[in-house]
This record gives sequence, structure tokens and C-alpha cells, in this order.
Amino acid sequence: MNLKSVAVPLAAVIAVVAGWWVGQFMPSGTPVSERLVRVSDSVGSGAPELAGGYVLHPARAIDAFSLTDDQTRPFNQHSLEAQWTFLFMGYTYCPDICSVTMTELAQVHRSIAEQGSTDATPVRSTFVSVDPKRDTLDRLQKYTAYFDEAIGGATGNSRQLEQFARAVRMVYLPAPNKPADSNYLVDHSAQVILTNPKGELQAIFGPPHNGSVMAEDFATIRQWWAEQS
Amino acid sequence: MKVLKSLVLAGAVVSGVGQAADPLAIHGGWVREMPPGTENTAAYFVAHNRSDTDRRIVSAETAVADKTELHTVKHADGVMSMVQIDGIDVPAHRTAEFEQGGKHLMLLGVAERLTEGQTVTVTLEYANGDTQSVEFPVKRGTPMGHGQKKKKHDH
Repeated sequence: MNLKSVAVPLAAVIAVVAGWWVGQFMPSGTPVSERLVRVSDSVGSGAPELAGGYVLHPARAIDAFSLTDDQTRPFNQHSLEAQWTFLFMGYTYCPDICSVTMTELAQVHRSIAEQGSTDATPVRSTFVSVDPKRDTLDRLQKYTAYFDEAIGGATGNSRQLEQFARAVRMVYLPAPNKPADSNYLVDHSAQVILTNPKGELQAIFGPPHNGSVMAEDFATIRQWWAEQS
Repeated sequence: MKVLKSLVLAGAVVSGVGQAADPLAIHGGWVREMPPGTENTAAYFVAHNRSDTDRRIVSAETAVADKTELHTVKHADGVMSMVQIDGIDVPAHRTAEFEQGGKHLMLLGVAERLTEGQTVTVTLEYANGDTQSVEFPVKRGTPMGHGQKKKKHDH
């Protein structure tokens, strides 16, 4: 895998569109290139190759952000420390991709448990809702618990979500104030981010996700991380 | 309304019993079990057109949802968007797949949570005005590599 073959998909993978798609607000014809954030960074050498994603080497620091989790506790950059965290942006009204990704994340946690690692560092997932108007914390709690107890929810207001998205190098576009239809859909990408126990951005998993493969990739990363430390 | 819904859930009414040959053979249909507190879900199936006539599914409806729409997921530069579509062609002697992360029926505004064990009747409408009712079991989503079709990951 040469650098060029990685850089282009990586730039695309890192760019996450949490754009609110409601027909007239965001015509689906909007060129994707205009919605992407391209990073000049690329994957450094020495990082393990993954079957379902990319390792960022060196890991990238995550700027300050401030959300609230589904237990009404603050969820910020420090919440990511001393644990491995899979982060995924979505919304509970999304009936296909979000549920598919959550189902795969649940499989990630089951497979990691089956790996029986001696490493006691917790592995968690946080589903960050980009639809705070409808996704209350209580709703997020019920939704995430349905998939796996290792998965929690978090959200914030549009400013906070934008701050979070920037911190983890995604794009967040706020919702229209008055959607034309209460059943509005949110256009979002399905990438899953992994942060390391230092709270840094360590890997990115692109769709289609396969929980079993991601768990194997995670084992690779965890072992590599242990060798590095 | 509640009684009607129960009847529909039980699949006791509205199915096209006694019709001549169905326009399409529908296999492997299922509706995703809903996480608690949610209102929307999706349905998936495989449609086989064994006839010599091209078919086009233009809409679908079910009594359990306020609205049922045809959607597909578009991939562009790593970004995925859910896009409503106005129909799906199933040409003569061809197959169309409605699968997770791809084309699917989106059930919006489902008043009562659908859980595994229930059955939902869905009526498909074709471009020529024909309709066909099919019954889909409600199932909990399973991860890839665990019964569902495995997609190849391309780099």
C-alpha cells in the first residue's frame, strides 16, 4: 500500500458530512468535494495495516469539545482518556445505516470480549447524535443500550456538535431551524473513529463495517500500541 | 384503528389472496426490529421477476407506518447519503435486492414498536398500477458474517 493509494481515500474517509438533508435545504446534487475537509496529514510508515480501516500514525491530538452523555455527565476530550473508544456520528431516526453500524459495533464489543485479552483498559463506544432536536439524552440511552451495554450516547447543541466534529476532524452542518417535515432525514457518513487511551485519534474505519473484522483490527492496534508504549 | 392494525399485523387481511400470479416473487423479506423509543425502521427483500414483462416498483405502503418510502444509499468519496428514489426497476428475468446499507423500504412514523416475532404486511405498487401484498417477519438485525450477506471491502 503506497502513500498515494492511502492519502486519497483517507482524506475522503476523514471528511464526514453530517449535513442535514432536507430536499430544498441541501440539494442532493451538492458536490461532495465541497463538503469535504481534506487533511494534509497522511498515514505515516510503521503503522500496522488494517483490513477495515486505517491507522493514523502518529495519532492525532483531539481538541477540546464539550458534549453531554446519556447519563447526563459531561462528555469531553478527557472522557476519551484511559480507555479505547469507538466514536460514531448518527441519529436515532436513521433506520438503515445507523442501525447497521450500531449492530456491527455491538459485534465489535462481543468479539473483543471473546478475544479474552489480559489488557484491562476498557473498550467503549459512543454514539454521538447529530440530531439534538429529536434525540434527547433519555432517548439516546434507550437506543444505545438496545445494541450493547458498552455503547453509550452523547449529544449537544449545534455549536457543541460543530466543535466536536472539528475536534475529531469531521464536518458538522447544523440542522434547519424549521424542517419542512417532522420526518426529516439527516445526511451523514458512516465512518467509525477509534481513539486511544491517551485520548488521541488513532484509527478510522470506513463502511461497509464488519464488526468481526473491526475487532480483529482492534486487536492488531492494541498489540501494536502495547509494543510502542 | 388499533383492531385493524392488529389484524394487519397478524396478516389476516389485505393480502392478495386469490389473485392470479403475483407480479414478482419476493423472497427473504424482513423488517428491522426497532430499538425502544424509535419511530422509523427499514424493510429488506429480494424481488425476482420471472416473467417476460419488465416491472417497476413505484411505491410501498403498510398500515403500521405513516409513510413508506423507497430509499437507497449513495456512496461518493467515502461519504454515504440516504436518498429517496421514485422507483426501482426489476427487468424481466432479473432480480433486485433490497439490502442493509443499500436499497430499502423506509417505514416512517411507526406508532407501535415492532419487535421480533411480529409480521408486517407490505403492499408494493407497480408502475402499471398492479399491487402485491407480502408479509415480512420482524427480525433483529444481525452483524455481517453472521447470516447476512457479506460485502467485500474494497480499498
